[in-house]
Amino acid sequence: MSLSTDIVRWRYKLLPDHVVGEILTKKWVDSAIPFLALVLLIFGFGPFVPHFFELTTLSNLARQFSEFGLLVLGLTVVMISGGIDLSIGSVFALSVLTQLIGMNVEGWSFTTSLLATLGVGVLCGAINGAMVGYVRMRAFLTTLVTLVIYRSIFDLVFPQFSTAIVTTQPDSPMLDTLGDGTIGGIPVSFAITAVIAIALHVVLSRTRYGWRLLAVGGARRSAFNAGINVRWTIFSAYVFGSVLCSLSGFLFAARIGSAASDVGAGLELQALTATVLGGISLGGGRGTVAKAVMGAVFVLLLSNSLLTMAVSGPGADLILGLILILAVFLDVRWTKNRHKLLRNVYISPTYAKLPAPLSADEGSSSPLAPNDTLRDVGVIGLGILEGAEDVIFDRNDILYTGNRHGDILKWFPPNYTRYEVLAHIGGSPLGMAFDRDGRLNVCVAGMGLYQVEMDGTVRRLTAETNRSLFSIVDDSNMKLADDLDIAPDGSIYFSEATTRFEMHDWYADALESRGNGRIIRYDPATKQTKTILPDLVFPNGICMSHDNQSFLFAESWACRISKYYFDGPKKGSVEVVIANLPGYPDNINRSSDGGYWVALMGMRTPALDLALEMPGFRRRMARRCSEDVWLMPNLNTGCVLKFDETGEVSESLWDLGGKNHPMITSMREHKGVLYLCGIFNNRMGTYRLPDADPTFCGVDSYWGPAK
Amino acid sequence: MSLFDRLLGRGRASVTVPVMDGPFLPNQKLEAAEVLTPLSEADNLLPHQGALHASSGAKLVRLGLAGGVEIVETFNAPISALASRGAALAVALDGHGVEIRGGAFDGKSIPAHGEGLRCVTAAAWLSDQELLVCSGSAVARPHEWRRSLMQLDVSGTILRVDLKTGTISKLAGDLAWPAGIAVAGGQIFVAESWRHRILAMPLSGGAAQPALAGLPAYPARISPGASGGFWLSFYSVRNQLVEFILQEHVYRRRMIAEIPEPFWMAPSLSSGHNFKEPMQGSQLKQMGILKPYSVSRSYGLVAYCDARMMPVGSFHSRADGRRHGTVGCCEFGDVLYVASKGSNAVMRIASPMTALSE
Repeated sequence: MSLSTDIVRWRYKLLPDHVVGEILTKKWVDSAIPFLALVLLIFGFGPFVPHFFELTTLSNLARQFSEFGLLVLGLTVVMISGGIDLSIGSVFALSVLTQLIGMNVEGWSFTTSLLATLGVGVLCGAINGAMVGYVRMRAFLTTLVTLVIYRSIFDLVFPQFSTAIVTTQPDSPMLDTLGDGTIGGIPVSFAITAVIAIALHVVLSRTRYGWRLLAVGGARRSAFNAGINVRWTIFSAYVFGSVLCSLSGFLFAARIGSAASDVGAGLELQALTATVLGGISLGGGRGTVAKAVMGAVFVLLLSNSLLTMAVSGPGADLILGLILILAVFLDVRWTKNRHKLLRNVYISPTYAKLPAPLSADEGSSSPLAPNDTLRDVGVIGLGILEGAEDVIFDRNDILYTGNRHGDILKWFPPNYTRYEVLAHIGGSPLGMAFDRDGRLNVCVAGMGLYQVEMDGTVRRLTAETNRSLFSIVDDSNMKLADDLDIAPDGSIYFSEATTRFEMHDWYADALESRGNGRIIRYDPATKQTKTILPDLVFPNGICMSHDNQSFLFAESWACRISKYYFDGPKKGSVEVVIANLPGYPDNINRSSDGGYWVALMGMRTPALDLALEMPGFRRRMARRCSEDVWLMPNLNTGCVLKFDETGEVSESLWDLGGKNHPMITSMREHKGVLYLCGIFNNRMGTYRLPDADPTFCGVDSYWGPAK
Repeated sequence: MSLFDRLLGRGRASVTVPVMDGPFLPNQKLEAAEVLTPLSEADNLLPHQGALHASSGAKLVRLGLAGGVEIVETFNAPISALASRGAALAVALDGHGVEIRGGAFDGKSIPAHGEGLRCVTAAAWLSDQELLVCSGSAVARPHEWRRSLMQLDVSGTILRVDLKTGTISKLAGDLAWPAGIAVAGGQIFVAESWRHRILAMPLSGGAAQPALAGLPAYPARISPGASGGFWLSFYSVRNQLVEFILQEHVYRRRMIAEIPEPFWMAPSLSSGHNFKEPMQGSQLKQMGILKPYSVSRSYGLVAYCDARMMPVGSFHSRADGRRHGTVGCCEFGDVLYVASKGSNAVMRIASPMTALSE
C-alpha cells in the first residue's frame, strides 16, 4: 500500500466529515452565524473601545438592553408571524408620552399609568393587526403609514405637555425602583425583560400558540388548510408586539423621567437590524428568542461602541444600515441555499477498500463458479407479491411474508396460490422470525421491531434504543431495522442497517460504506433495548448459530460475515467467518445439513471496488451526478451461497443477468425446497434442493419438534 | 477549466448529457426490426456491385437480401472499414493498412507504415485513384475504441491516399476519434465521435466547421441515404457517469490500468453479460422490469440527417433491448440494413423514410 493511499485512509479515519452534514441538519445551526458575528464584535471591538468591559458599562448596557430587547422581541413575534411592524418607534414614543403625562402631569398612580401605557400599545397594535390580519393589507405599507400617523399624534400632543413634564417630578417609589433599582446587583428592568424573554421562549417553542404562529409565518395557506385561525393569529401577533413596545416605552420613561421631541425616532431601523442580524427570517416562520437577544445585544454593543469612539449619529446610522443590508443578504442566501448545502455535504463517503474477493470465475471448479440453476425455478405470487424481503414457514407449511405495502401475508399450501392478509403493520416489513410461542417477530423499516400474533394482533416491541454518547444525529430512534433472530433465552437480536439514512436512501449508505449501522438486543423479559454492536457496515442478515451461543451477521457493504458470541466462553467477542465474499451479503438462514444459506443481493464489480478506495471520487459523483447514474453493486444478478460453521462455501446457486431473480435479499429452506425473495421483485421463487432433508422445518430447528 | 469550475462542477466541469428529444425521441423500432441474418461481429454494411456486403470479423461476406451469408474472402486481420466505388473495394484491416480488391488497382496493398493506417475507422473514395481515410487514433487500434475514449485521445487524422503514387497527405489532425466519413456536395463530412459532432470540410481545402454538434451519442459511420441525406450510426449513448469519469483523471487512469476492459465504466457495444460489469442506479430491475429509460452503457441508435446534416428522425433499441452497438448501416433498395455488432445480427427496416415518420 502506497503512501498516498495511507494518507487517504488516515484522512478519512481521523476527519469524520459526515459530522458536518449532521450538524447542518440541526435547527440550531441557524443561530451559528449571528453567534459568530457577536463573538467577533466583542473581541474585535473590546480591546479598542475604552471602558468596554467595565462594570458600569455593563450595567448601563443592561438597562438599555431591557428597553431595546423588549422592542426587538416584539418585532420578532410580528416577523415570525410573517409580517413586519415599522411603527414600533412611534408606538414607543406614544407610550413614553402616555407614561409621562400620566405620572408627571396628571398624577396618576403607578398602576393606572402602567395600564394606560399598555392600553396605548394594545390600541396601536390592534389597529395594525386589524388592517393586516383581517383586512389583509400589506404589512409593510400599513405599518409605514401608521408609523407616520402615530408619530404625528405624538408631535401634536407633545408640545402641549412638554413644559409640564419637565417641571414636575412624580413621587412613586415603584417608579424609582423600576428606573434605577437593582435586585442582587441586577437592574430591575433587566430582570423584567429577562423574565419576559424566557416566558416568550417557552411560548414560542413549547406551546400551541407559538407553533401556530410559526406555522402561519412559514406557510400561511398550509396553516389555513390545517385549520389554524390565520387572521386571529396575525392580529394577536401585532397586538402582542405593540404591547411589548409600550412596556419598553414605560421602562424608558421610568429611567429617564423626561422626553425629547425625537424620542423613539429611528428605533425601527435598529430593531430591524437586530432581528435580521439575529437570523429571524424576513419571510416569516423562522426565529427564536435566542436569536432576537443575540441580535439586540449586537446592535446595542455596536451603537454604544460607536458612541464611545465619537462616531457621529448619522455615521453610526450609516454603519447600522450597511450591516442591515449585509444581514438581509445573508438571510436570503442562507434560506435559499441551506438545503442545497445540506444535500451536497450530507453524503460523505469514506475509505472502504475491500479485500480481494473469493474467486467466482466462470468455468472454474470453485464452488462459487456461476451457473444458471436459479433461472428457471417455480414461482409464487407473480405480479401479486410485491417486495417480499424475507419469508418464513410455520410447522403447518404456511408461508408468511411481508410486502411493500406494509402487510404481513399468509400463503397456503400446497400450491401457495391462495393468500390472505394476516396483519397490516405499515412501513416496510423486512426480516422475520418465529419465537418459542409461535408469534411472528418482524423488523419493520422506518418503524422498529414488531410482533404479530397468529390472530393478527400487532404489537410494537421496541422503536427506541439507548442514544450513543457522541452521536450528533439522534440515533435513539430506529431508521432501518433490517433482520432479526431469536436466541434460546428468548432475547431478540436485530440489525439496524443504518442510522443516517431512511430506507429509500439505502444506496446513499452504500455509497458511503461507513459503519453507520448496529446490532441491537431486545430482552422481552425486561423490555429493555440496548445497542450491543455499534459502527457496523450495513449490518443485514442475522442467524443463530447451531451452537446456540452465538449468531452470524452479515455486513453488506463490507462483504463480510462475522460471528458474535452472546454466551459461552467467548462471550462478547466477534469473529470474522468470511471476510471476502464476491458479493454483498443480505439475509442468512439455517440449512438442513447444519450449514447456512446466505443471499448475495448484488455482486462486486471491479469498477465499484476501485471507487471504494477513492472517497473523494464517490463524494463528487454523489454531488455532480444524478442518483440514476451512480455506481452500484451489480444488483441484477441473483446469487445464493451455502457455507458452514468455519466459513467454507460449499455451493452456489445463481441467476445470472437476473432473469427471474435479480437482487435476492433472502431465502429460506423448508422441507427440501429453497424459497427465494427479492425486495424489488414481484414474485417469490421455489427451487427443489436435490439432496436436502425433506422434513426440515426452521421452527423445529430453533425450538424443537412440536409438542 | 478553472479551479473554481472544478470545485463547484460548473462551466466545463459540469456533467450534463443532452436529452434524447426531438429527432432523437426514443422508440423501439430498431429493437422490433426484423433480423435479416445473425452475423458475428456484424459491421461495415455497404452495397457493392449490386449486392449487399458486410464484414464479420476478418471475413468479407455477401448477404442475400432474403437471408443467407456467402463468404467472399477471409483476411488476416479484422476488417475495420470498407469503401466501394464501381468495381473497386477498399478494405481496411485492423492494424494492417488498406487492401484494394477489383477496379484499376486490384490487389494493391498499402501497408500501415508507422502510425498512419493502423487505425482506419472509415474510408471513402474521392476519385478513382484517391481514397479518403479516417485514422481514428495514432495510439489505439480500431477495436480499442473504448481505450481511445477513456484516454482522452485526440490523435485522429483525416488522410488522403493517392493509390497511383502511393503518397499520403494529411487533411486534418487532432481529431477525437474520427469514425465516419462521407463526401457530398463539395464537402467532406467527418464524424468526430468523442466530441459528439459531425464536422464539414470543403473539398477545396480549408478549416473544418461543425455541421452538427451536441449529439446525445457517440457517432460512428456516415452512410449516404437514397433521398439525399445521411444515415448516422452510433457506438453508444453518452452516459453522465462516463462524462464525469472523463474528468476524474485519477480514477480514469487507475481504471484503465487496473481493471479488465470489459468491466470498465465506459460505453460498450453490448452489456449485461457478466456480473462483474458495472451497474448504475436506474438499471436495477424493479418488479421484474428493467426500465427502458434507464441509463445504459450500450444502446442501439441509427439517425437520419438531411443533406445539410440536420437530424430528422431516428431508430432506437433502448436500455431494455438487445440490438445494441449499431455501428454500421446502409440504405439499399428502399430497405435500411443495420449491423448490430453488440448482438451479432443484421436487421432490416423496409421503407425507412416512411418508418421514420410513423
